[in-house]
Amino acid sequence: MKTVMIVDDATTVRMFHKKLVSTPDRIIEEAENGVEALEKAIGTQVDLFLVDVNMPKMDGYRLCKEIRRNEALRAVPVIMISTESANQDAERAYQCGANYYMTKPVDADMLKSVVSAVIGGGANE
Amino acid sequence: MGLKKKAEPIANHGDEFDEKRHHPRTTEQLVNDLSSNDRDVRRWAIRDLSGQQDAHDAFIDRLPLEDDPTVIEALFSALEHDMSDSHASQVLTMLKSEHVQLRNGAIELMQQNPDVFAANVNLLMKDNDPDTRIFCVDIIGAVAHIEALNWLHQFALTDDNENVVGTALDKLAEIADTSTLDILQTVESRFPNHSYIQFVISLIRNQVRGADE
Repeated sequence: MKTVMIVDDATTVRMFHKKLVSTPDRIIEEAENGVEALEKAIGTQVDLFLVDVNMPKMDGYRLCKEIRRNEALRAVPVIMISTESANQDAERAYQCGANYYMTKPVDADMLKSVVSAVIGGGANE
Repeated sequence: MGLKKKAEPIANHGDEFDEKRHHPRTTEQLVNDLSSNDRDVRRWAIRDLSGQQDAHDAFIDRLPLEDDPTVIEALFSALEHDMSDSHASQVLTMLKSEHVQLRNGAIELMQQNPDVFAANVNLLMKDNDPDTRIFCVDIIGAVAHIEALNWLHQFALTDDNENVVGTALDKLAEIADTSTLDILQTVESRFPNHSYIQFVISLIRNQVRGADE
């Protein structure tokens, strides 16, 4: 089983992304912001973070940096999803340690494919 | 700015803090302390200036320069009450800041001042930056204002940016009523190929109809 943690302050976005990436061989965890994501992730086996950029308390950029600083989490892939499509935003995400950067609205098939490429299972198997 | 600040009794936080507080001081001295190199002195100045509306200009001027998160938090707390229109306009410009704490602080401040926010919502709705409009929708989702539902309907019906509309629908999923059902068909036809928008519209319909049964 692989665990995907979806981090977004919008409830319906979490529900939508959960619907897209759920498969029988995946556990989906959810968090409303970076602080909650870190609290839930520490001590849990997380295989992939799907992270929104703009969130209260701790935004996606900072969460990504914290993940890379944390010994137990630093190797976990991070897909950042943002409404901001400017090149500088993608660059900032990669500088913070993101592995992939996608802009909203996400293409449903693309998100499924990227998640499968990163952790296996799902649509590509 | 020439007001004398009364020395008010406060909780004892130890000799070190007390030493840095340098009381009693005039408002002018306290405002100068907002630029001190010592964050404890800055925090004490904010605390001692709190409640003085004529200090709000100094608080707002300090915000973009401040780098200590605890001082930024104290500045926003001190601005919570008696916000004037001109201060509100200045706070709203922080919605465009790249500094997350400033942006989130501005959002929270507006959430705590629904009437001040309401006076500015039409301007925010017309802002050229879709991210600013998304933050506006975020605030609407959190304020307890009688017009909140109408504002969200307006965003969903008229905004050209799919992410702004998506955010408005996300907020509507929490507060929609039967009047929302009337607008959903129009919104649905504006974004026929947008899978998230179609998903949330379906969710809202089910919720409202379920609640109505």
